[in-house]
Amino acid sequence: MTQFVLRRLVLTVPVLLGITVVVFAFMKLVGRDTGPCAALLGERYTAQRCEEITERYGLNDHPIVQYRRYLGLTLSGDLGNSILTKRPVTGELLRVFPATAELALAAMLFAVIAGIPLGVIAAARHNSSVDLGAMIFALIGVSMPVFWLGLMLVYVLAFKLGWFPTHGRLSSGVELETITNLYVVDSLLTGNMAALRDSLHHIALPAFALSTIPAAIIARITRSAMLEALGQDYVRTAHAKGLSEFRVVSRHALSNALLPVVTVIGLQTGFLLSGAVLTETIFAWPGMGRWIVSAISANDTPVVLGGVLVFATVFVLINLVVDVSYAWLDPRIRYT
Amino acid sequence: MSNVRRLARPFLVLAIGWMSLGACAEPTATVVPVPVSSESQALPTTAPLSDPDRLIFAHPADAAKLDPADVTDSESLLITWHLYEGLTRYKSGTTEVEPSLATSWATSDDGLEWTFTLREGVTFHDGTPFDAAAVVWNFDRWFDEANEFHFDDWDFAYWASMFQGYKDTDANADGEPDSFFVSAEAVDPSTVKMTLSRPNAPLLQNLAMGNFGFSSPTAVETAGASYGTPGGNPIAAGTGPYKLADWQSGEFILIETNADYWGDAPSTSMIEFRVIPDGSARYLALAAGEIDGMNQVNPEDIESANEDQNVQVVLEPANNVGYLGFNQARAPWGNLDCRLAVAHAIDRQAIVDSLYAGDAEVAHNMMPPKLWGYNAAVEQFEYNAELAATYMEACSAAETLPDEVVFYVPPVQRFYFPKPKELGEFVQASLSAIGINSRIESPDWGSVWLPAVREGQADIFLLGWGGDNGDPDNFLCQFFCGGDASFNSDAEGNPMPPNAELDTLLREAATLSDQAARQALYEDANILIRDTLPALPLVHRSPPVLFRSNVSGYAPSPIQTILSGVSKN
Repeated sequence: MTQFVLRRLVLTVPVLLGITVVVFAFMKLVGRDTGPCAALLGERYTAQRCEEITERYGLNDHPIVQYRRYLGLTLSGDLGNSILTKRPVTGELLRVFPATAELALAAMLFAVIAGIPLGVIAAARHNSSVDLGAMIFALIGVSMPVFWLGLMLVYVLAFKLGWFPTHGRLSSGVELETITNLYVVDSLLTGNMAALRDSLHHIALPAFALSTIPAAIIARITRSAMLEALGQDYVRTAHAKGLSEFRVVSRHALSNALLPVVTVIGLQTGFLLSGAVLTETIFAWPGMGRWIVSAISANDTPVVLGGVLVFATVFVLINLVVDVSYAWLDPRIRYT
Repeated sequence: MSNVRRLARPFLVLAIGWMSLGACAEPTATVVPVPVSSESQALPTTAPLSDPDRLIFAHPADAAKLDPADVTDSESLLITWHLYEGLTRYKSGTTEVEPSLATSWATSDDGLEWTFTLREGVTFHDGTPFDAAAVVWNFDRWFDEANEFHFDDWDFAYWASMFQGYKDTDANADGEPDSFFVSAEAVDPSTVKMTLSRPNAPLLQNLAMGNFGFSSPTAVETAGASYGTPGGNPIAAGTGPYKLADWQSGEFILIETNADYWGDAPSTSMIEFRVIPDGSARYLALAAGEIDGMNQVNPEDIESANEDQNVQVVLEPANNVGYLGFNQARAPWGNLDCRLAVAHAIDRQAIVDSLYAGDAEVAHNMMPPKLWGYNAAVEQFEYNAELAATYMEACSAAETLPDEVVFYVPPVQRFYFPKPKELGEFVQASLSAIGINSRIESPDWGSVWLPAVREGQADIFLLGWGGDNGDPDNFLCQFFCGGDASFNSDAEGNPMPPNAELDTLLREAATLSDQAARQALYEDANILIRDTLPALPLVHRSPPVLFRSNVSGYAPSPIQTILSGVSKN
């Protein structure tokens, strides 16, 4: 197993290199020769001012020279500075990634809590009204636009009913000493219960909005996997042995149906960790999605490359965790 | 079924627990409630809480940097206006200048030497004194690209634009330095002498701009290139009425009263600038009472704001113009009749009525009405289909019309054009009515649109401008002195002014020191612009700012959003 994990980690390096090459090439293609000029100059754009800017940032050099320079910096652990804000990309990543991670994990918690039971119940009551209702619910969840749902949640639950704050990670005036930048975790680490309550209060709505699509997908996959598992001989045997339905469903069917569910949870977690632009925008959540989208529109190459590197690393690591979890879930699977 | 319920129960308990934990949480015990809108007052509420000494103002994006010399974005300037001061400043609510850190000034007859007397007893936020040496240090930093603290990645766009270049640069290779600025010298601790190579009439206006606020030399030297960024130590040290208290990047910036401020103390002890990117969410936060004010309002929210008795709508005086530009280098737009035909074919009042939420007016000059030099006597272009047809007939007789006119319409919202797509379609329909077929081009704003228009690839285009310094030069010469090829170019594509007489007039006006003479020249220029029609002014927009009804003391300004006088009741 250790050898397998190490091999996969080593293979990550060429994957990341390849991704930076592709993204770099795309940024050069999309940005033409003007790079970040429009973002920096706006209506003040003139060819001469733009030339000065592109010269200053070395954007007039051959793309291969630029890429080599970027790679050299990256290998030395420096992801460069944002052209727009002049801030170090690494520092910005340490700020925005925890915000996204906190939101993504909370959303996935919601999604798992809602999706797996829904799928199990639908499969256990196959072709009943419960099954139909659960799948309609899943269909609504997967097709509802997140920005619309987010705005509706803000309008009804925050504005009309006042149950939740409309935006942000903490209320104005609530102080919190940050250690990991995961506010819930930092509140616990520092024993700041007021901040803990406030950060949970703030994360609830965006996490719920973000969880609807993964919850629906998890519910549908769970249902399919459970239906297949419930039709297997060992389930019939378990029923014949007189085991209770709960035990048959939970111990025999569900544990065998979990492999595809875990796969989809892994993939969805990867997507969520890549940042949720719309949710972050509506709820003023200062995460990866907003950060990288504004960098793309401003042609801020160092930020885009830094962000993509993080996305790629997250996906690779999550896939690795999913693969390793297979062995834990199914004792027949062995990695060498 | 009961077993399935048992299976689901732990999940349900967890889910309900999570929701309850969130819903029952109270932000903090130290804050007081603020009334919410009448609709939600009767309902249970935990969210709308606010501190009376802490004004919360929401805007769409975080400041890029808090070093005013290195920012061009309005989000950064919104904060730096409160932290920094320059030699002059704009009188509250106007674009007129008044003394700030300079208490008086005098200029030589030829306008090349300026002597500024500095305010005494002023200190920067880091406790170091503000004196002539600090002023000279800042000017050297701005002007000299080789200066140690003129950092490598700096884009001091406003210095390059207002002072026309950096030290020892000669971009057009005419043997003369680009910049009219020569040097700043400390005569004594409270006197600075500034030397120019040629007169610059808008100098005092320029010096009042937020970008020319002074930073503490000690603070910049200590923080180095990280000055002005969240990682800087210190982040910002000016002389303004507020100093920086906290910057949670991407979330909020908190500023607090500068106890050592030389002027009147601000009305509110703390201002929190909160980032809420989505316009609708920003408005809901205001309506719910979670914030006290906001800018950059969605047009569709203005109507709701007008109907909400807990919200007040304040319109800033317009300091912008949105226009339809004609590229005279491309046929048939070099022909005045063709341009006049378009001017009479567009119903500009209908544009204002249908595409703006009561926050715009029809433009008749290429500069806003509140600015000196505006000429109210300029004859207006009336919407007149018959007149348009007559001019079009003359146009067609003299020119061969292209099959399609290339019409560039911004693909993104601008503050003067909140609905650019609809505006483009409106103008396209107006052109069609006089027999001009046009093809709307709206490629990517940054990488294609701006370069294409500035390089003269558009036949006609919709664009606009927001004033920087309250000087007509910043509008009229910006457009018509041949800075780029959008209005005209020679056979090789080099930028040319659309009208030589207008160019001469504007350049002369920029060098005179007599204000009355300048005003007369700009008034003449506005008539000439009307007569030669290099562009058709369409609208001036007064950007709305929203506040809760318990907020008072805000002075609307055409050029800056300053909240020092604002307080909550």
